[in-house]
Amino acid sequence: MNDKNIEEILKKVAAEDIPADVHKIAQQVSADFSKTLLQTGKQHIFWEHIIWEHIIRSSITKLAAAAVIVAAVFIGIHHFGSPIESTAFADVMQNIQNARTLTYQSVFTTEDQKPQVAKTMVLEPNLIRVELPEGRVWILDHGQGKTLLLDSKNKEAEISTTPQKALGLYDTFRQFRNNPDFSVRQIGQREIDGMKVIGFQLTKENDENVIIVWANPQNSLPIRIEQTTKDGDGKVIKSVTTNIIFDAELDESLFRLEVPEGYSRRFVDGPTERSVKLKKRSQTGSNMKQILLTCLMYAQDHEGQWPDTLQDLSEYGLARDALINPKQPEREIGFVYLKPITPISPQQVVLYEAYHSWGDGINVGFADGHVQFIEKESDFKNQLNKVERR
Amino acid sequence: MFLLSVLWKLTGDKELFTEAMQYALLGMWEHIEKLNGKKAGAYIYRIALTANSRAWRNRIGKDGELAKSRTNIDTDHGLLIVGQIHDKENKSEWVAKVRQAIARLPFKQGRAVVMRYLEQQDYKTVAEKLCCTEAGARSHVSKAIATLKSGLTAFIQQE
Repeated sequence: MNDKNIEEILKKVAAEDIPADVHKIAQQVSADFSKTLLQTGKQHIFWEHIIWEHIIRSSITKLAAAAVIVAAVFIGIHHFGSPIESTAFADVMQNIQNARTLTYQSVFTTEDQKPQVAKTMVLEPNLIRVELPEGRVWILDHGQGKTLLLDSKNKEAEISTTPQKALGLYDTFRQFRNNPDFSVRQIGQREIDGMKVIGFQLTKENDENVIIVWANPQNSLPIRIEQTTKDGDGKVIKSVTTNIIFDAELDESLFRLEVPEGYSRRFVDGPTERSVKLKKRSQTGSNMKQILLTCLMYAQDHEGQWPDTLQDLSEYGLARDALINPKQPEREIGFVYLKPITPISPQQVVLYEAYHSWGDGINVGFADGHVQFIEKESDFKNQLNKVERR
Repeated sequence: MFLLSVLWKLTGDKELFTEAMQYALLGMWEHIEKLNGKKAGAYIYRIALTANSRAWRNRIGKDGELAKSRTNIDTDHGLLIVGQIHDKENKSEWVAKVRQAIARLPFKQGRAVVMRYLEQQDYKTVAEKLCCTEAGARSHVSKAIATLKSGLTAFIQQE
């Protein structure tokens, strides 16, 4: 065996075509994975997060985007393919999804208020402008997670850094697309403005939100969309969307998150303390999982022996960043490592967050590679005592 | 198509590929906050290579050897290896052994091999992605080949 032989094998492997059924396998795995997440109630967070927070950001590398899109596209196909009984509606959705820009007008009616009209403009992939009554304009940049509300009457501007979820019709479509629990049924035909249109009713399990889409059967473009939903106080809101135009030229300056001159500005609701804390907890857990995984790889190569110190993992490609606890970035190594004694018990504590005071709890890593957040210090000490008794 | 293509080339086996794909999706879910910014590309490689390593590790028996039934990978590479390999069954087994050995490479070497050979990128691109010089990239690749060689030579001797 020489270098040339190995290079030869590698080149041949590179030249192999991917069998067609491998695509199907990947699609199935992605769909199963999505279902599993759905059971834990996290699926929508995952895919929405990936698709809308990551793919569309321009800073992401093409490579990463391509990788994520593979999964996202499969999920899209799965969700799109199985629950929708009508391919005709799939064509309507396809038109919506393919749109580079989109404008429409919606009339909102509530029980106790007079109807309100809003004009919405969407510039894909992530800019939305809603022109509301009384000179209010709401501009949202999904990519930056920022919104700007301009009140031209009072010359006030409000900047919010909390990502918005409910964005009206367009995001309702996104939610429907990303949620496999909805169903679509045809509800017959009617005439709108002298044109025969076909209707589809979209409903979701355990959700009172109903959408009816009337589309032109000739070109599968939606003509009118009726939506019934409830606000946070349980009040019924009905909306009718018309004047739907795809791919109109829209001036990008309409979507700038800039406060015009002469406006007073105020910042509202940044990330809450709790959300920041939870994010750091999650990042810490991720770092620990990465360390444990690398330890397992190390042990694999060293007859089951774990490294003496975490520094020994550098040869295995573990980034130094992974050794830092985001909660305590000032420490060079933010974790305490306990080299497991053989025979190794899977439930043996091998890694935990270094801490001065207990606080809400800490992440603890076990020899089988899993990481658990332990809230009570007494529970943690019990786990540690088990190690000491060994 | 990166994940699908690279995972298939690294596994070459449908069962292994399925397992690696599952680990890759899990990796993406677990490291979702890292799939952004300048380092996203590196994390995707890490996720793919880690997923592959885990899949292979689960496949390898306690004695460190692949079961014969696990090496029936569909390849027809023609004359792959000079010397020790003569028949098709052995060729398939060799390809599987190379793939298995890649799964055990340290991360940087694994990534270098994937980029240089499986993705057929030039050294300049490999160097840019590994944030090192071209000489450094060549060094990672040659170290990887040397590691693969020593692992596979040990296999020949065992045989």
